[in-house]
Amino acid sequence: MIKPTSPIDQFFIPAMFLMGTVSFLALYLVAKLKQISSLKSTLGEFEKTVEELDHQARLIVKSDMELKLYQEEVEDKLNKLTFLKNLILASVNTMDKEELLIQINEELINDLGFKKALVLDYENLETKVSVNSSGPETEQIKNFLSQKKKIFETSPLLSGDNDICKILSSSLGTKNILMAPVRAREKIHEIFLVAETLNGSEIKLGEKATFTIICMYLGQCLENIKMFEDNFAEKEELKRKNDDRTRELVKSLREIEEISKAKTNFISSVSHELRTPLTSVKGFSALLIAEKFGALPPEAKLRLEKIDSNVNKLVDMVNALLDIARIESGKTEVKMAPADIVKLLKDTGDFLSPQMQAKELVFELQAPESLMVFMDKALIERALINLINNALKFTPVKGKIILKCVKQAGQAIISVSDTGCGIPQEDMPKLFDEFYRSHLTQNIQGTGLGLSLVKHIIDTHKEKISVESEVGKGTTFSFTLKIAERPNL
Amino acid sequence: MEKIFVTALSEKTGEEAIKEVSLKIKAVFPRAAKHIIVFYTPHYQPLTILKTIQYTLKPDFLSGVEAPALIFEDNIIEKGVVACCINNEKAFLKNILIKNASSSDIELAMRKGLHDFPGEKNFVFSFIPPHFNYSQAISGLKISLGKNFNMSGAGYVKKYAPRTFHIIDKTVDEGLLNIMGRGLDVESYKISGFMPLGKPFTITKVLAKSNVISEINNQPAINIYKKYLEEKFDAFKKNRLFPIYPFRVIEEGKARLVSVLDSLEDGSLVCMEEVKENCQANLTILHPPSLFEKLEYELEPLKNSTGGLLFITNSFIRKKILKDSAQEELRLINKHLGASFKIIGIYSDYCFCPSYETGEVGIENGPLLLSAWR
Repeated sequence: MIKPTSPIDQFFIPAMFLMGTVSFLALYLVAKLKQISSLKSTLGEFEKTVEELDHQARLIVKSDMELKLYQEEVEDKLNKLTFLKNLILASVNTMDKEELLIQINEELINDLGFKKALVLDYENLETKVSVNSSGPETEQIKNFLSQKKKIFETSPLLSGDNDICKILSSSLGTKNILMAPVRAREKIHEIFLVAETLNGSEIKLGEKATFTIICMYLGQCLENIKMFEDNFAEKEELKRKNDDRTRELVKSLREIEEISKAKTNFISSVSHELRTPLTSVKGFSALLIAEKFGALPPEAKLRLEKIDSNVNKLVDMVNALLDIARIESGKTEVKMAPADIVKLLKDTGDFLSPQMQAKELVFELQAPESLMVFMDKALIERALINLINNALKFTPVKGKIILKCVKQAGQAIISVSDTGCGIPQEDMPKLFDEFYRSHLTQNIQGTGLGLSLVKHIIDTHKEKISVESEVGKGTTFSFTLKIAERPNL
Repeated sequence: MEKIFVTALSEKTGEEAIKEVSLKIKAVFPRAAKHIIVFYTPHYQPLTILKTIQYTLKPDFLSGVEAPALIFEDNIIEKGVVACCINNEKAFLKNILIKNASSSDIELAMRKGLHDFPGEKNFVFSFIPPHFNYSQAISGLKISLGKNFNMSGAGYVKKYAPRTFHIIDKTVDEGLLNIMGRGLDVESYKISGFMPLGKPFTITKVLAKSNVISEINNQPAINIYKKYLEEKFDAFKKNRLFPIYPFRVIEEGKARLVSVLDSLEDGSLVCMEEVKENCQANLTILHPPSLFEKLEYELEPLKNSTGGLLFITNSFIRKKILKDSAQEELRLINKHLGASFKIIGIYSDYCFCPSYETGEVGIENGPLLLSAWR
């Protein structure tokens, strides 16, 4: 320790000490002030950096937000497209209105981004679909729309900014309403209403567009359903008419069949009843003409010969009627077998040659050497005799009869042509009817049964018969027969 | 090593899906399937699931949870059935379904089931339906279960189906489903990945005992979003995107994520959980590249542990933020843990589990909750 040695020392030393302390404190203060200034500067820089970082943070958050909103928008659009695709897939084949409206369920409304929905019939405001809409809410909407629904005739979509939606929203206490008509064939069928977005946000443009598309799509579906229903109804009506007509035809056919059967039975019975006395009459007349009971006066003989001739005609008629009746009733057994048609034609021609010669007719046979066909020989012979007899009757003296047989497309076509008076065109449709006779042939004897019998015979062979004729020039009857190929030997 | 956990997925329609998962499990455990937990999307009828599983697998325990979307390995399943079979003789599982939403009813119902769980190493996984108030439900569960249970779970705010039915042993019913258990080691891990951004702010006014923040930095709370979003704020508010930027709140030196659900007309913010006044907070953002960088580190504790069943409770908001990266996140988890863990899970609106630091059960709607069952 320094001890003071003099009064000066006693004063000087503390003064020096004090000065030193003051100087030290001054230097310390300066140093501290410098440090504070440096710290202030650092703090300023730090704050500046923090502010800069905060600014960067704002940029990051903003960019992130922008990106998210953009992603949300893209995702939202994709979701809506998927939603529309699913709705279309679920309803594209729906052809029933009720089934179509079932598609508007809670899932669909939620996918659309809403909580509540109503589909009302435009005419009577009957509830077709209700999703999370309470009874009082639905009634309130119906009451409101009963006065205002005409607006849908001019507005395709009503949203929150529309006065009607605003009034309805406030009276229901429901936010965010969208309403649109569902039109089909220029007519409003339903009113579709959705309300309250799922996330509570306001209705976006995309949601409005999607809702409008759905209403248009539902309208298109309704139009398709109407078209389908109309087509179905038309088809049903046609089917009903067709069935009625078929029933009538079947009934008529049965009646005709019954009448025909009755007629056949009647003819068959009558013919049988007639044939027995006719045979007796024929026998006695023949005996009388042959003068087996004694000579007859010439006058009586002449009358008897006329009786005999008419009895013969009557027998022919009765036989023809019996044949037709037998064929019609199916009692005639058709014995189909291969036989030579050319030989049959020759034999038939020969058989009738005396009658032809008596009328000085020219007879020609145009046929190959031989041709085997499937036929019932006896029946076809009968048909040929009838046709040639017919030709004989209607061909004038020195006329011509041609029997022809040709092969054509695997068939034999047999024809009998004459150079007779011909048949008028108007008589053609009834030519094969029983007892029908043309007015041109009224003065020529005949029963009107021959051609009918021929037609029946050809029909039983399941073949075709046709006729070509020209008045004053002649007639040709043709029928077909199936060729029976000879086995290769 | 004997197999304890088997998982199966089917995306077929109707009964076919349930038959397929049953057969897949039966192929591994032909004799017995002790405990079955099945998750299914709303496309399936729980009664059909119940009957088919009872008929084919005849399990001692059956629990069925309906969820709007599922996870199987690294896939997000929008329509399907995922089943998990636990064949561990030591394990004991029990279903408790609570139909009344009040906190006291929950407490009472849970207490009745506690006599089967005397020890300390118990666990419960709860599924809270939309019509339950999650705060009351979790409060009821906390009070009744105390510290003896490792409590975690998932819940729904938004009603995604007209009715949500669960399978409880031999019945099908609605309500809060609790799968309680012992004999298994269950640990929960949270993966957040949200990064703090910008200057910290102070929560200056909170409505008493509620989850509403009135003021931040002595201004209406909503202004914090206005500050960062500027001209994008209107679109943000209109689209109710608050949950995508949660707050990182620091209370007593510990940080936790608080989701903002919505705003009120006076500019207050409604949060998922209660927040204290005068604590510091930051706005956070989930940035996929940064998340994937951190993911490996976050999965480290699980990578080095014994394998088993990994049940993921993923959140819809996370899916919404991550978009396509949500699948990438699952792929990364599967890449790191797929070899040792059977990975299944569900999507929910929020999850809850005890905080690693405090042990307090907290609700969050942003993170991924991984529950490792061994």
